[in-house]
Amino acid sequence: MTPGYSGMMLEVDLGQRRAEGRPIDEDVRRSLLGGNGLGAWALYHTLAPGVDAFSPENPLIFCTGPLSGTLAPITPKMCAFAKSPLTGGYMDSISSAQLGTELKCAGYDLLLIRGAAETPTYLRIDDDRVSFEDARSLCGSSTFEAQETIRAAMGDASARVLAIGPAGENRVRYAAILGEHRAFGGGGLGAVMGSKRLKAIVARGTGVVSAHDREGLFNCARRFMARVRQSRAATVLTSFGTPVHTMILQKLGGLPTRNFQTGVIAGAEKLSGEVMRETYTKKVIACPSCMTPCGMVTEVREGEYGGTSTLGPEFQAIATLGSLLGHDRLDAVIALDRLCDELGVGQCSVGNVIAFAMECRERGLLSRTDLDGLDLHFGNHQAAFELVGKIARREGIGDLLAEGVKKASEQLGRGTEDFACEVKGMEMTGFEPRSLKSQAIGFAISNRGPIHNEVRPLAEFFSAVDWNRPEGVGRLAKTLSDWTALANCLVWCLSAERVLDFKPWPVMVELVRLVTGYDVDEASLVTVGERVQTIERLINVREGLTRSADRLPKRFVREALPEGMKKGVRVPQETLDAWLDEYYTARGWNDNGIPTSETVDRLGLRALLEA
Amino acid sequence: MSVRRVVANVASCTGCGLCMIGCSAEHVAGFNARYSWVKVDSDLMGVPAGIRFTHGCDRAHSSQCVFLTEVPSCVALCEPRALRYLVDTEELAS
Repeated sequence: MTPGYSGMMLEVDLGQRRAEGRPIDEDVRRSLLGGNGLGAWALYHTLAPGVDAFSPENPLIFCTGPLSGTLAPITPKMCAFAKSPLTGGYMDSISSAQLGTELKCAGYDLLLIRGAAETPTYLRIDDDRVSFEDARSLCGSSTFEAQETIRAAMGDASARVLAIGPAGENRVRYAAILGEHRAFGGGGLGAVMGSKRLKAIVARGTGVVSAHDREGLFNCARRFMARVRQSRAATVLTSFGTPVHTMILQKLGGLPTRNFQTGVIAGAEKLSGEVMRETYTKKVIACPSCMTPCGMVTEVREGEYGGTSTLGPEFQAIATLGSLLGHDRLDAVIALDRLCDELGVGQCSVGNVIAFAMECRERGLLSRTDLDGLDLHFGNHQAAFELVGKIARREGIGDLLAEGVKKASEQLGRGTEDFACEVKGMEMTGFEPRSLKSQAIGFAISNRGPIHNEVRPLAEFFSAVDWNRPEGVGRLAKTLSDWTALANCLVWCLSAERVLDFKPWPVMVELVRLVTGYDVDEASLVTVGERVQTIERLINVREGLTRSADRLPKRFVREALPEGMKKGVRVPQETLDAWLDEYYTARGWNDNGIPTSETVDRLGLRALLEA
Repeated sequence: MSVRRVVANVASCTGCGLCMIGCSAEHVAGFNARYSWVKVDSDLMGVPAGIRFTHGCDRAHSSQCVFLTEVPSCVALCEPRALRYLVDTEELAS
């Protein structure tokens, strides 16, 4: 077997309570590496077009990467895949949950779950023994309670669990899956898990992950450590975590505020990484195998949210559960962060949904009666807190809002689509796409919906592109989204990589060579990224998502930012169209955003997709 | 004969677990933290609560770790310096 891989996938049918291991072809591994690539390939082959996201026929897939569980630095992640109940298209979600390493040590690179259980169940993977356990007593329990209970039942502190909370059980379309305190937050994969009546998965693996050159890997990790110790970017990241972005975005006029009505908020400094560090952080921890610890363990000591502790909030939560809701209370963000994780609610989506409802109320389109008596308005974090619970339980107005911004807006009508901020049906992450053009094109082109990491926000500062001209933006977006796809194949951290000064390729090449022994170079790794982007796109095309889905919400196209550094800026449709034309051309897709037959052949995908 | 010892300070530990992955490679033909002789016990959030040495680790690097000659691999991989390798220091005598 190629080092770094177990070479097997575990295929589980919950309806038939059957599990079997199957080999993964060497060609597939070599062409797609793992993580994002392997999962997209498996979804392409197992998702029948047109299947409802909540049908038992929608497969739920978990995947590790070749570097997972080894000494390779900054590779703590694992990926989850399914058809999204928000977008109706391709979805992957990436988390630092540790189950991936256990799965790999149990002998599997990939876990494919089909069907639905008749009664609430959890899946138990104990090396090569797979069983279906009764989870009825866990119904309604928080993600953390479920994990603790199952881990105790396993009798092994090293076993790792993924669990959904009430939101997943109730098919909230943006429900998350939690592993430890790390979430697969985007795209509603927790709801897919809930639709299968699968409360949790536990894995324990006693095998080992091999590496082609263990000593070389050890030395590479040592060199990386020296680099971390000299890196200013690492110092900033480990001092303040991702919340360091709050004040950067505020200065750029791009801190999403009041449902994206503006990009600055008075009191932004109260939401800053600096204040979080000084007032609330009690410990800084790392993801597994990561040398740049940026996980802020925070605690609110006093006030109405006193006694709450959480891992985070990350910047995304500060933006979507803080400024987007029009308040500057970091203690409230910490409490909301914790609540979302307990209930298993995707934070970015729920923040957007609540902001949307607040704007509906502001415009008189939802009354206090419609909102079950909640005095929901921008700035009211207590009402937001209550609403998250109602959404997770699908209670009252929570039932409508559990459908996500797009479906809620469709149901409400009356012009709400003008301020419904979603792309492909998924809510936005916390970077303002008018102030950061990299995000404008990234949100539009991403196969999985508006994700800040498809085209990096920091591209604005390290690329040579003139963002005020149409030329070059589409090509840069292609380059960066290839890099994203490859990073997600490995599966490596898109935040920690800043240690490498945005030149990750040499280290990526070295790590793949050391772990797998594959004779890769930069060009061959770029091709892996291109393959992955194209497979994802082919899945979307089958589901009817083409150029018309690569758009931005009306608000960003029509309304200019009213204040701040980027005052007056919007993203006209003509600009977006020019970017898309160039992006599709660079990818070898036609002008409708569909990969051409020649491109499928050039990338060597024909055999992989027919197999 | 010199006095050598690995000392641990959990307050500095970030819970990354690289020490365990590195140590496991000293004892099995690959990586799996469960075979490590050093154990970082963390809660569900990932906050390290304690660092233990097991399996008869003598914490003195006496022919037990092979990758590096100067320091044990758990120490070599500890970026936050929660594990340190002390040789003939007053800290050891106290």
